[in-house]
Amino acid sequence: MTVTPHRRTPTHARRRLFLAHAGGVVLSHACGVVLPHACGVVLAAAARGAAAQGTRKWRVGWLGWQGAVGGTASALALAAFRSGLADRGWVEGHDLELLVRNGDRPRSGELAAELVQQDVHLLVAQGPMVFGAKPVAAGRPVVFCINGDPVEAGLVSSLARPAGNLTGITALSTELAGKRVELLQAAAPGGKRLAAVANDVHPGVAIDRAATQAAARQLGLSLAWYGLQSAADLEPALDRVARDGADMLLAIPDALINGQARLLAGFAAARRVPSLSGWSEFAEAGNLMSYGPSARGYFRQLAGIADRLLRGARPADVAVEQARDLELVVNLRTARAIGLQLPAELLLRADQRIE
Amino acid sequence: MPTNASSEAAPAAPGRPPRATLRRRYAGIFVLLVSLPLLADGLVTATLIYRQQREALAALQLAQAETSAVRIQQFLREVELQLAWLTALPWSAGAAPQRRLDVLRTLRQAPAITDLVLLDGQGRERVAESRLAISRLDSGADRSVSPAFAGARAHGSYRGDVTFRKGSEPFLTLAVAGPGPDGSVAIAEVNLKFIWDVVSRIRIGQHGLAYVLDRAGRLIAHPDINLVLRNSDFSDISRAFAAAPPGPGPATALQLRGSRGAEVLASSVVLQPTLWRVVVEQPIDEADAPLWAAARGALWVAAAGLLLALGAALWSAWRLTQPLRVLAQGAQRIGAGELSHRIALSSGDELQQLGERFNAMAVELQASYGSLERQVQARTRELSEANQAKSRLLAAASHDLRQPLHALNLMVAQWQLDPAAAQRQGLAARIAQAIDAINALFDGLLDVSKLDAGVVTPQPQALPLQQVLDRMDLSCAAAARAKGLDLRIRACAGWTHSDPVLLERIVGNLVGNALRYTRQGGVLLGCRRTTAGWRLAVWDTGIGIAPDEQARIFDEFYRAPGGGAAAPEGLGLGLSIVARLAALLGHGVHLRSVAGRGSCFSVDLPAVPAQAAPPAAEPALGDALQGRRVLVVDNHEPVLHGTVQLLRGWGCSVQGLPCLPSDLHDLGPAPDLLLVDLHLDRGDDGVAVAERLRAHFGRALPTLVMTGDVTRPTRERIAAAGLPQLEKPLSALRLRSALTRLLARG
Repeated sequence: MTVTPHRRTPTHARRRLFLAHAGGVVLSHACGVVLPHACGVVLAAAARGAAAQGTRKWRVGWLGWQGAVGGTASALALAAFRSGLADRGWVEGHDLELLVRNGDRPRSGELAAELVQQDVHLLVAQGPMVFGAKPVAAGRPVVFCINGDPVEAGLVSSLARPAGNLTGITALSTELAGKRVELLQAAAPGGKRLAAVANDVHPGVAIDRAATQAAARQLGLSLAWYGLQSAADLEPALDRVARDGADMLLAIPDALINGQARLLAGFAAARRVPSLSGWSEFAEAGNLMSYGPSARGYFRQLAGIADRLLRGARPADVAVEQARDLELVVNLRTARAIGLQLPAELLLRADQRIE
Repeated sequence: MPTNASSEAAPAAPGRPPRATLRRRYAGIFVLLVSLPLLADGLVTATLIYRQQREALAALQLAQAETSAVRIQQFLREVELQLAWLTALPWSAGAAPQRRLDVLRTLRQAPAITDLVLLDGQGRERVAESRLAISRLDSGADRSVSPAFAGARAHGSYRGDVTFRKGSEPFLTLAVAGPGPDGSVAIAEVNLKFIWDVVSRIRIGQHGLAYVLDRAGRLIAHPDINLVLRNSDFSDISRAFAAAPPGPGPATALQLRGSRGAEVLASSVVLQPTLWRVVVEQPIDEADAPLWAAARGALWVAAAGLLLALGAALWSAWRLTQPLRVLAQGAQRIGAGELSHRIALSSGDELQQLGERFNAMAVELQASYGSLERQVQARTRELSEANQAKSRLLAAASHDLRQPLHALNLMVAQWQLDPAAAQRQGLAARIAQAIDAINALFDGLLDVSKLDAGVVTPQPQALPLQQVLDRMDLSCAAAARAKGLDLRIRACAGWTHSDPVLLERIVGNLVGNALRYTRQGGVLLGCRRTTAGWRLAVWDTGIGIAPDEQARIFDEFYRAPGGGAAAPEGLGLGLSIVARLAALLGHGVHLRSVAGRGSCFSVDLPAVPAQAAPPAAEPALGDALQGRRVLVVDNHEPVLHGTVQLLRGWGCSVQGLPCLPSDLHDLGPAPDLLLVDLHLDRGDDGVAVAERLRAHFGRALPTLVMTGDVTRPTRERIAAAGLPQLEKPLSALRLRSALTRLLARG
């Protein structure tokens, strides 16, 4: 008799089955949670690895304005710009490369062309350098930071929509012209003669002049305008000021004038005349006052614009920003040295006092 | 032979394809039963999670929007607070310088304010300070018609519409009026870029943000300041929110194109009284991320569950069909003829029962096949024995027939050769002898076939034993004398109940056998009284029968091998006839024999009281036939001729016809006897002929049917017609006695 043995599942086999089932459920849960995360981590690492191999490094070209005397303004501006970009997540050397060229207005076109040849994605032009960069940019975005009105300067069609490949930030110097004259008048009670020193080559200087003139007329002051062609012209201009006599000295802020702050401070202190310009370093250099946007905030704003452009926005879509924070910096030491008793409203207004 | 039966239902392959479909079906059903609920559950869960997630998100976004709104209100209220402080005291003449200082202080403290103007109770400008424009002191300009003055006077505070200076920067006019009907009013121009600080600090998830739209849908505050400076118009978003029904149920987040162009989920809150809309939005991908994570998790679980289910299904289906496989295999083997195969299943359920039933069936089959085989073997043996017997018969018959026929040939030839009378007489006797031998042969055969056919019907009656003994003496004495044997018959006065003719045949065969197989000595015939009745015994001192032969000698055609030179005569049917007749009459037959010494055959007969008179003796063979008219109808010419001549020799007037004439009147007057052959020419039937003649002559003519057809149907047909019959060949004596009896009966 042939026998084909066939046993029923013994208990231990059923236990095995249960364990297998339980194990399967646990495994599936682990898969459902761990696996996608693991995949995500792996993929992210791969992406970062790919990125780390330097597939996309942005090149930014900085056209700094270098006056005849030193480049502090430019250096400060650049430092502020750099920190602004770093705050927004750009790591220099890793995904960002900054090419710096410093020069003056005549050389701006040549320097800009050089940067363009270096294949920069973005050009940042300080002050008047934008005018040389504009024709050679060849479609690349150009970020400007000027004192005057960019619409008047012909850089953009409107502040809200630049509609070109230029955008940037403005220091509102035209709007502030009247205020500056008023502050000077408050500092020099009884003074009637206002001397204004300005860089005549600076675009929009005519508008500045007109605004200053209007303000002076409104406040009942006489305006003497001393235009400079270059930094070398300052000394003779100041001699003329001394000869003509002035109660207040207004230095129309621009990169050239900013570079001559110390000189002007020395002159003002000697003549015991209150002097005022746009940038805080003017007051720090020894002048009595400065009223304008804070440099640090100003260039950080610029970095914000550059960051937006680097992240893919079109310059035509990036509105021109105006400096937001205005500060009145008063150098009390200078006041004491000149022997000025500053009125309460001036002191009240001061955002920063230099002791 | 069982192979055909099993392969009728199954295809050529030994049953494998059906088994696989069962397993697949089980597996499929199992998978379906598990996977469908799983999928359904997954879908339901996903839907619920989706809905819950959206509701939670909407609630969260609403809370965030409200928080942002609160902060923005705070911002504006702070400015209003400053203005309120400025207008706390009513305007008095000459207060301008002092007030100017207050204004300057306020400007210091609230950097958002760009211009601040103080109006006296009549709406004349007293102090105007600005961060950009030249200040004015006590200008006295009438500003009472300005909406800011009027609104502040009417409601205590005023918030104007948002304007964009230089088409870029958003500014808001705020005005606060001092207490009393004469209170001064402070109007401030607020640079809304400073709200950016508030709005940019609001964090929602990773990429969510909050922004503010004014009444007309223009963007006035956004973490991305550039969008504000561009005067982005989000009036469609504003309209979408305005159109959404507020509803009492849980808040729903709107899905729309967000401020940065991507698809977002957004909720909003309206600020009073400026009717600004604070919108909180979050990219849809980020908002739904947890949902997709949950969905992925659920999908993994479902997939794993499905795989598990499939595995479990296949495994359990295999396990389920395993006993079935064993059963199928077992059934196939049993069907193929391995009846000794037993299916061993120990699953403890109905399948095991089925296996046991299969086994029981196999046992039954085995037994029945065994018995069938045995039966078949027995039958085959019988058949082969019968065949052998028949062959023996044919051999013997042909041999025995040949002898007398050969003798006849010789004798007839001699007759033709030598017509001398004396010789003829001797020859005639020898011819008669030869014919007797042939007749005896056929008689023997006929008797056996008649007995086999069961046509012989015994007619038992009371008869004296002595009658049988006397008849034996009469018939066998001469033969005994011829062989030199001593035949002694003891008398007996007893009576018995039996058929006299058949009993005579029995005893005659026994005595004849005894004489045949005894070479010297004698034969004793006698009766003895026993408790049951009479025992008629035939003793002989013959060659005897060996014990192993004693059973077989009653078989047909069996002749015991004779030890002597003389070959035994006869066909070996005698004892078989004896046995059959005895069985028919109900008499027992016994045999005792010692080889070389002799045998004793005995027949048990019942005993009956003696009757008064012996039955009438048979009528003597007188000349009953003399002068009778006989009609003979036979189509065989020689037979017809011989019969006619013989009858004429006996004194009858005979008319012989091969067939009936068409007109029966040609036959003349009615005969006394009718002799017909059964099978006549042209399909005529002797029985029909007899009936026609009987009908024609109008009475029941005594008829004798003679036929060579010994088959049972024929015999029965003739018996059914009520006509006596005789089988050819038969001796003249018998014919004569038969005719005499017929006439005697009338």
